[in-house]
Amino acid sequence: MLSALGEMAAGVAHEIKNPLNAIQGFSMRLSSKVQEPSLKKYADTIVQEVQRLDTIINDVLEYSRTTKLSKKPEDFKKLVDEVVQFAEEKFEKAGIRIVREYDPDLPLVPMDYNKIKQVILNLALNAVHAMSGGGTLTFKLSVADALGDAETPGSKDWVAHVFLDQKVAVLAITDTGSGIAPENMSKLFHPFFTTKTTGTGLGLSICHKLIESHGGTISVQSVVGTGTTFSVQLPLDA
Amino acid sequence: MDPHQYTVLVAEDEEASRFLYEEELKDEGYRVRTAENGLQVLGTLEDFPVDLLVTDVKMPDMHAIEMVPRVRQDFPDLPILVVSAFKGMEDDFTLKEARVAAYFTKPVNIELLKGKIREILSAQPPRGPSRL
Repeated sequence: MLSALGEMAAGVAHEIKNPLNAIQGFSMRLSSKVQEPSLKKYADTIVQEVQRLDTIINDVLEYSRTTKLSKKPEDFKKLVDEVVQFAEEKFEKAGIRIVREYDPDLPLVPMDYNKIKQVILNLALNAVHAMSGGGTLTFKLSVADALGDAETPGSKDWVAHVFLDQKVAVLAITDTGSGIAPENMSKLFHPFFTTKTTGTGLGLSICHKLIESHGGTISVQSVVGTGTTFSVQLPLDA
Repeated sequence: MDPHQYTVLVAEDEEASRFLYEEELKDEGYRVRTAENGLQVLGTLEDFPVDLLVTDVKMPDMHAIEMVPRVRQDFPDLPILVVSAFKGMEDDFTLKEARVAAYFTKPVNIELLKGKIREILSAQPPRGPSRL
Protein backbone atom coordinates (compact mmCIF):
# COMPACT_ATOMS: atom_id res chain seq x y z
CA MET A 1 0.00 0.00 0.00
CA LEU A 2 2.69 2.43 1.08
CA SER A 3 4.80 1.44 -1.89
CA ALA A 4 1.99 2.29 -4.35
CA LEU A 5 1.40 5.52 -2.47
CA GLY A 6 5.13 6.23 -2.63
CA GLU A 7 5.19 5.75 -6.39
CA MET A 8 2.24 8.06 -6.86
CA ALA A 9 3.72 10.69 -4.52
CA ALA A 10 7.04 10.52 -6.40
CA GLY A 11 5.30 11.02 -9.74
CA VAL A 12 3.28 13.98 -8.50
CA ALA A 13 6.33 15.47 -6.76
CA HIS A 14 8.32 15.30 -9.99
CA GLU A 15 5.61 17.13 -11.90
CA ILE A 16 5.34 19.81 -9.20
CA LYS A 17 9.07 20.34 -8.65
CA ASN A 18 9.73 21.21 -12.28
CA PRO A 19 7.44 24.27 -12.34
CA LEU A 20 8.59 25.18 -8.82
CA ASN A 21 12.14 25.30 -10.16
CA ALA A 22 11.19 27.95 -12.69
CA ILE A 23 8.91 29.88 -10.28
CA GLN A 24 11.65 30.09 -7.65
CA GLY A 25 14.37 30.93 -10.16
CA PHE A 26 12.47 33.71 -11.91
CA SER A 27 11.23 35.15 -8.59
CA MET A 28 14.83 35.33 -7.40
CA ARG A 29 15.75 37.02 -10.67
CA LEU A 30 12.95 39.54 -10.22
CA SER A 31 14.01 40.19 -6.65
CA SER A 32 17.58 40.88 -7.71
CA LYS A 33 16.53 43.19 -10.55
CA VAL A 34 13.76 45.37 -9.09
CA GLN A 35 14.64 48.43 -7.01
CA GLU A 36 11.19 49.26 -5.60
CA PRO A 37 11.12 47.76 -2.05
CA SER A 38 7.49 46.63 -2.16
CA LEU A 39 8.01 44.81 -5.47
CA LYS A 40 11.15 43.22 -4.09
CA LYS A 41 9.16 42.03 -1.09
CA TYR A 42 6.52 40.48 -3.37
CA ALA A 43 9.19 38.53 -5.23
CA ASP A 44 10.89 37.44 -2.00
CA THR A 45 7.54 36.25 -0.65
CA ILE A 46 7.07 34.07 -3.73
CA VAL A 47 10.52 32.54 -3.12
CA GLN A 48 9.71 31.83 0.53
CA GLU A 49 6.40 30.23 -0.37
CA VAL A 50 8.05 28.07 -3.03
CA GLN A 51 10.48 26.87 -0.39
CA ARG A 52 7.55 26.06 1.90
CA LEU A 53 5.91 24.06 -0.88
CA ASP A 54 9.17 22.25 -1.48
CA THR A 55 9.37 21.29 2.21
CA ILE A 56 5.81 19.96 2.09
CA ILE A 57 6.55 17.89 -1.01
CA ASN A 58 9.73 16.49 0.52
CA ASP A 59 7.88 15.55 3.73
CA VAL A 60 5.13 13.77 1.80
CA LEU A 61 7.75 11.98 -0.31
CA GLU A 62 9.70 10.91 2.75
CA TYR A 63 6.61 9.69 4.56
CA SER A 64 5.22 7.71 1.65
CA ARG A 65 8.41 6.15 0.38
CA THR A 66 9.44 2.65 1.36
CA THR A 67 12.38 3.04 3.69
CA LYS A 68 15.56 1.41 2.49
CA LEU A 69 18.15 1.32 5.23
CA SER A 70 21.87 1.12 4.91
CA LYS A 71 22.80 0.04 8.41
CA LYS A 72 26.25 -0.29 9.92
CA PRO A 73 27.75 0.25 13.39
CA GLU A 74 27.97 3.99 13.99
CA ASP A 75 29.12 6.41 16.67
CA PHE A 76 25.87 7.79 18.17
CA LYS A 77 27.80 10.44 20.16
CA LYS A 78 29.36 11.83 16.98
CA LEU A 79 25.92 11.95 15.35
CA VAL A 80 24.43 13.94 18.24
CA ASP A 81 27.44 16.28 18.20
CA GLU A 82 26.90 16.89 14.49
CA VAL A 83 23.22 17.67 15.01
CA VAL A 84 24.07 20.12 17.81
CA GLN A 85 26.69 21.77 15.65
CA PHE A 86 24.30 21.99 12.70
CA ALA A 87 21.56 23.65 14.76
CA GLU A 88 23.93 25.74 16.91
CA GLU A 89 22.87 29.03 15.39
CA LYS A 90 19.19 28.27 16.02
CA PHE A 91 19.91 27.28 19.64
CA GLU A 92 21.87 30.46 20.26
CA LYS A 93 19.25 32.64 18.64
CA ALA A 94 16.51 31.09 20.80
CA GLY A 95 18.58 31.40 24.00
CA ILE A 96 18.85 27.65 24.45
CA ARG A 97 21.63 26.11 26.51
CA ILE A 98 22.79 22.69 25.36
CA VAL A 99 23.71 19.94 27.82
CA ARG A 100 25.25 16.67 26.68
CA GLU A 101 25.43 13.60 28.93
CA TYR A 102 27.05 10.66 27.20
CA ASP A 103 27.61 7.20 28.66
CA PRO A 104 31.35 6.71 28.04
CA ASP A 105 30.79 2.98 27.50
CA LEU A 106 28.19 3.39 24.75
CA PRO A 107 29.19 0.97 21.99
CA LEU A 108 28.75 1.60 18.28
CA VAL A 109 25.07 1.40 17.34
CA PRO A 110 23.82 -0.33 14.16
CA MET A 111 21.95 2.32 12.18
CA ASP A 112 21.47 4.15 8.93
CA TYR A 113 23.44 7.21 9.97
CA ASN A 114 21.72 9.77 7.76
CA LYS A 115 18.23 8.54 8.59
CA ILE A 116 18.83 8.67 12.34
CA LYS A 117 20.49 12.05 12.00
CA GLN A 118 17.34 13.27 10.24
CA VAL A 119 15.25 12.00 13.18
CA ILE A 120 17.43 13.62 15.86
CA LEU A 121 17.60 16.90 13.98
CA ASN A 122 13.82 16.91 13.65
CA LEU A 123 13.38 16.30 17.40
CA ALA A 124 15.95 18.99 18.24
CA LEU A 125 14.23 21.57 16.02
CA ASN A 126 10.84 20.70 17.53
CA ALA A 127 12.39 21.38 20.93
CA VAL A 128 13.57 24.79 19.73
CA HIS A 129 10.02 25.52 18.66
CA ALA A 130 8.75 24.52 22.13
CA MET A 131 11.27 26.79 23.88
CA SER A 132 10.54 30.14 22.29
CA GLY A 133 11.54 31.87 25.53
CA GLY A 134 14.84 30.01 25.83
CA GLY A 135 15.71 27.13 28.14
CA THR A 136 17.85 24.04 28.38
CA LEU A 137 18.01 21.17 25.91
CA THR A 138 19.62 17.99 27.18
CA PHE A 139 20.86 15.12 25.03
CA LYS A 140 21.42 12.05 27.18
CA LEU A 141 22.90 8.93 25.62
CA SER A 142 22.92 5.68 27.55
CA VAL A 143 22.61 1.90 27.32
CA ALA A 144 19.55 0.18 28.77
CA ASP A 145 17.55 -3.01 28.66
CA ALA A 146 15.12 -2.93 25.76
CA LEU A 147 12.09 -3.24 27.99
CA GLY A 148 13.57 -1.66 31.07
CA ASP A 149 10.36 0.09 32.04
CA ALA A 150 8.14 -2.96 31.69
CA GLU A 151 9.38 -5.36 34.29
CA THR A 152 6.08 -6.39 35.78
CA PRO A 153 6.13 -10.21 36.01
CA GLY A 154 3.40 -11.76 33.93
CA SER A 155 3.26 -9.02 31.35
CA LYS A 156 4.06 -9.85 27.75
CA ASP A 157 6.84 -7.29 27.78
CA TRP A 158 8.37 -8.80 30.92
CA VAL A 159 8.46 -12.23 29.27
CA ALA A 160 10.13 -10.77 26.20
CA HIS A 161 12.59 -8.97 28.44
CA VAL A 162 13.57 -12.13 30.31
CA PHE A 163 13.99 -14.23 27.22
CA LEU A 164 15.48 -11.77 24.81
CA ASP A 165 17.55 -9.69 27.23
CA GLN A 166 18.10 -7.20 24.48
CA LYS A 167 20.19 -4.11 25.08
CA VAL A 168 19.38 -0.81 23.45
CA ALA A 169 21.03 2.55 22.98
CA VAL A 170 18.79 5.28 24.35
CA LEU A 171 18.89 8.91 23.38
CA ALA A 172 16.68 11.07 25.60
CA ILE A 173 16.16 14.60 24.36
CA THR A 174 14.70 16.75 27.12
CA ASP A 175 13.56 20.32 26.72
CA THR A 176 12.34 22.81 29.31
CA GLY A 177 9.69 24.15 27.00
CA SER A 178 5.96 24.59 27.07
CA GLY A 179 5.15 20.88 27.16
CA ILE A 180 2.47 19.04 25.21
CA ALA A 181 -1.20 19.22 26.12
CA PRO A 182 -2.43 15.81 27.39
CA GLU A 183 -5.15 15.66 24.72
CA ASN A 184 -2.47 15.91 22.02
CA MET A 185 -0.16 13.22 23.35
CA SER A 186 -1.90 10.33 21.58
CA LYS A 187 -1.98 12.18 18.25
CA LEU A 188 1.67 13.21 18.10
CA PHE A 189 2.88 10.53 15.73
CA HIS A 190 -0.15 10.64 13.47
CA PRO A 191 0.45 11.92 9.95
CA PHE A 192 -0.61 15.51 9.34
CA PHE A 193 -1.17 16.29 13.04
CA THR A 194 0.50 19.55 14.02
CA THR A 195 0.09 22.35 16.53
CA LYS A 196 2.35 24.63 14.50
CA THR A 197 0.99 27.25 12.16
CA THR A 198 3.36 26.08 9.45
CA GLY A 199 4.58 22.60 8.60
CA THR A 200 2.95 19.48 7.29
CA GLY A 201 2.56 17.57 10.53
CA LEU A 202 4.59 14.78 9.01
CA GLY A 203 7.84 15.33 10.92
CA LEU A 204 7.12 13.08 13.89
CA SER A 205 5.36 10.49 11.68
CA ILE A 206 8.53 10.27 9.62
CA CYS A 207 10.64 9.98 12.79
CA HIS A 208 8.37 7.19 14.04
CA LYS A 209 8.57 5.37 10.72
CA LEU A 210 12.35 5.63 10.52
CA ILE A 211 12.90 4.45 14.10
CA GLU A 212 10.47 1.56 13.64
CA SER A 213 12.27 0.52 10.47
CA HIS A 214 15.41 0.19 12.64
CA GLY A 215 13.51 -2.13 15.02
CA GLY A 216 13.59 0.63 17.62
CA THR A 217 11.03 2.65 19.48
CA ILE A 218 10.30 6.32 20.05
CA SER A 219 8.33 7.56 23.04
CA VAL A 220 7.42 10.82 24.68
CA GLN A 221 6.79 12.11 28.18
CA SER A 222 5.61 15.63 28.79
CA VAL A 223 4.40 17.95 31.52
CA VAL A 224 2.72 21.17 30.45
CA GLY A 225 4.75 24.15 31.61
CA THR A 226 7.76 21.99 32.56
CA GLY A 227 8.97 20.34 29.40
CA THR A 228 9.11 17.27 27.20
CA THR A 229 11.36 14.26 26.76
CA PHE A 230 11.51 12.30 23.52
CA SER A 231 13.30 8.96 23.91
CA VAL A 232 14.71 7.07 20.96
CA GLN A 233 15.71 3.47 21.55
CA LEU A 234 17.80 1.58 19.02
CA PRO A 235 18.66 -2.11 19.41
CA LEU A 236 22.35 -2.81 19.85
CA ASP A 237 22.26 -6.24 18.26
CA ALA A 238 20.33 -5.39 15.09
CA MET B 1 38.53 33.97 -15.75
CA ASP B 2 36.63 35.64 -18.58
CA PRO B 3 33.20 33.96 -18.80
CA HIS B 4 32.76 35.19 -22.38
CA GLN B 5 35.33 32.64 -23.53
CA TYR B 6 33.41 29.68 -22.09
CA THR B 7 30.41 27.83 -23.51
CA VAL B 8 27.91 26.12 -21.25
CA LEU B 9 25.47 23.60 -22.68
CA VAL B 10 22.16 23.47 -20.83
CA ALA B 11 20.09 20.32 -21.33
CA GLU B 12 16.56 20.60 -19.97
CA ASP B 13 13.26 19.48 -21.50
CA GLU B 14 11.18 21.89 -19.39
CA GLU B 15 11.05 25.11 -21.36
CA ALA B 16 10.67 27.44 -18.35
CA SER B 17 13.65 25.97 -16.50
CA ARG B 18 15.75 25.91 -19.66
CA PHE B 19 14.98 29.59 -20.23
CA LEU B 20 15.83 30.36 -16.59
CA TYR B 21 19.28 28.72 -16.74
CA GLU B 22 19.97 30.34 -20.11
CA GLU B 23 19.13 33.82 -18.83
CA GLU B 24 21.11 33.40 -15.62
CA LEU B 25 24.20 32.08 -17.38
CA LYS B 26 24.07 34.71 -20.11
CA ASP B 27 23.90 37.37 -17.38
CA GLU B 28 27.10 35.88 -15.99
CA GLY B 29 28.70 36.36 -19.40
CA TYR B 30 28.87 32.75 -20.62
CA ARG B 31 28.05 31.66 -24.12
CA VAL B 32 25.06 29.37 -23.71
CA ARG B 33 23.75 26.61 -25.92
CA THR B 34 20.60 24.69 -25.09
CA ALA B 35 19.25 21.21 -25.74
CA GLU B 36 15.78 19.83 -25.16
CA ASN B 37 16.70 16.16 -25.16
CA GLY B 38 19.57 13.71 -25.03
CA LEU B 39 20.10 13.44 -28.77
CA GLN B 40 20.42 17.20 -29.06
CA VAL B 41 23.05 17.09 -26.31
CA LEU B 42 25.12 14.51 -28.20
CA GLY B 43 24.71 16.43 -31.46
CA THR B 44 25.67 19.79 -29.94
CA LEU B 45 28.75 18.31 -28.30
CA GLU B 46 29.85 16.91 -31.67
CA ASP B 47 29.31 20.18 -33.53
CA PHE B 48 30.50 22.82 -31.07
CA PRO B 49 33.20 23.24 -28.44
CA VAL B 50 31.51 23.07 -25.03
CA ASP B 51 33.25 23.72 -21.71
CA LEU B 52 30.61 22.42 -19.31
CA LEU B 53 27.32 20.54 -19.44
CA VAL B 54 24.40 21.17 -17.09
CA THR B 55 21.81 18.44 -17.58
CA ASP B 56 18.44 17.46 -16.24
CA VAL B 57 18.09 13.79 -15.32
CA LYS B 58 14.82 12.83 -16.91
CA MET B 59 14.47 13.89 -20.51
CA PRO B 60 11.94 12.52 -22.99
CA ASP B 61 14.29 10.40 -25.09
CA MET B 62 17.08 9.58 -22.67
CA HIS B 63 17.69 9.35 -18.94
CA ALA B 64 20.92 10.84 -17.60
CA ILE B 65 22.18 7.40 -16.60
CA GLU B 66 22.11 6.52 -20.31
CA MET B 67 23.23 9.86 -21.73
CA VAL B 68 26.07 10.76 -19.35
CA PRO B 69 28.12 7.58 -20.04
CA ARG B 70 27.67 8.19 -23.80
CA VAL B 71 28.94 11.74 -23.39
CA ARG B 72 31.87 10.41 -21.37
CA GLN B 73 32.99 8.11 -24.19
CA ASP B 74 33.90 11.05 -26.41
CA PHE B 75 34.45 13.76 -23.82
CA PRO B 76 36.29 12.18 -20.90
CA ASP B 77 37.13 15.51 -19.23
CA LEU B 78 33.95 17.51 -19.82
CA PRO B 79 32.60 18.76 -16.46
CA ILE B 80 29.01 17.59 -16.04
CA LEU B 81 26.53 18.97 -13.51
CA VAL B 82 23.33 16.99 -12.94
CA VAL B 83 20.05 18.60 -11.91
CA SER B 84 17.28 16.38 -10.62
CA ALA B 85 13.81 16.75 -9.17
CA PHE B 86 14.78 14.16 -6.56
CA LYS B 87 17.53 13.84 -4.03
CA GLY B 88 19.75 10.80 -4.16
CA MET B 89 21.10 10.89 -7.73
CA GLU B 90 24.58 11.27 -6.23
CA ASP B 91 24.28 7.67 -5.04
CA ASP B 92 23.72 6.35 -8.54
CA PHE B 93 26.53 3.99 -9.47
CA THR B 94 26.55 4.84 -13.19
CA LEU B 95 26.77 8.57 -12.57
CA LYS B 96 29.49 8.07 -9.97
CA GLU B 97 31.46 6.03 -12.49
CA ALA B 98 30.99 8.81 -15.04
CA ARG B 99 32.54 11.33 -12.59
CA VAL B 100 29.67 13.81 -12.43
CA ALA B 101 31.11 16.99 -10.91
CA ALA B 102 28.10 18.06 -8.83
CA TYR B 103 24.42 17.40 -8.22
CA PHE B 104 21.60 19.88 -7.66
CA THR B 105 18.03 19.24 -6.60
CA LYS B 106 15.06 21.20 -7.94
CA PRO B 107 14.08 23.83 -7.04
CA VAL B 108 17.71 24.71 -7.69
CA ASN B 109 19.50 27.38 -5.71
CA ILE B 110 20.68 29.21 -8.79
CA GLU B 111 23.45 31.04 -6.93
CA LEU B 112 24.97 27.72 -5.83
CA LEU B 113 24.72 26.40 -9.38
CA LYS B 114 26.43 29.47 -10.83
CA GLY B 115 29.06 29.34 -8.07
CA LYS B 116 29.91 25.74 -8.94
CA ILE B 117 30.12 26.53 -12.66
CA ARG B 118 32.43 29.48 -11.94
CA GLU B 119 34.61 27.34 -9.67
CA ILE B 120 34.98 24.60 -12.28
CA LEU B 121 35.55 26.83 -15.30
CA SER B 122 38.03 29.10 -13.56
CA ALA B 123 40.23 26.03 -13.10
CA GLN B 124 40.30 25.09 -16.80
CA PRO B 125 41.17 26.89 -20.05
CA PRO B 126 38.36 27.52 -22.59
CA ARG B 127 38.01 24.89 -25.31
CA GLY B 128 36.56 27.09 -28.01
CA PRO B 129 38.09 29.94 -29.99
CA SER B 130 38.19 33.26 -28.19
CA ARG B 131 35.74 35.95 -29.24
CA LEU B 132 38.43 38.55 -28.93
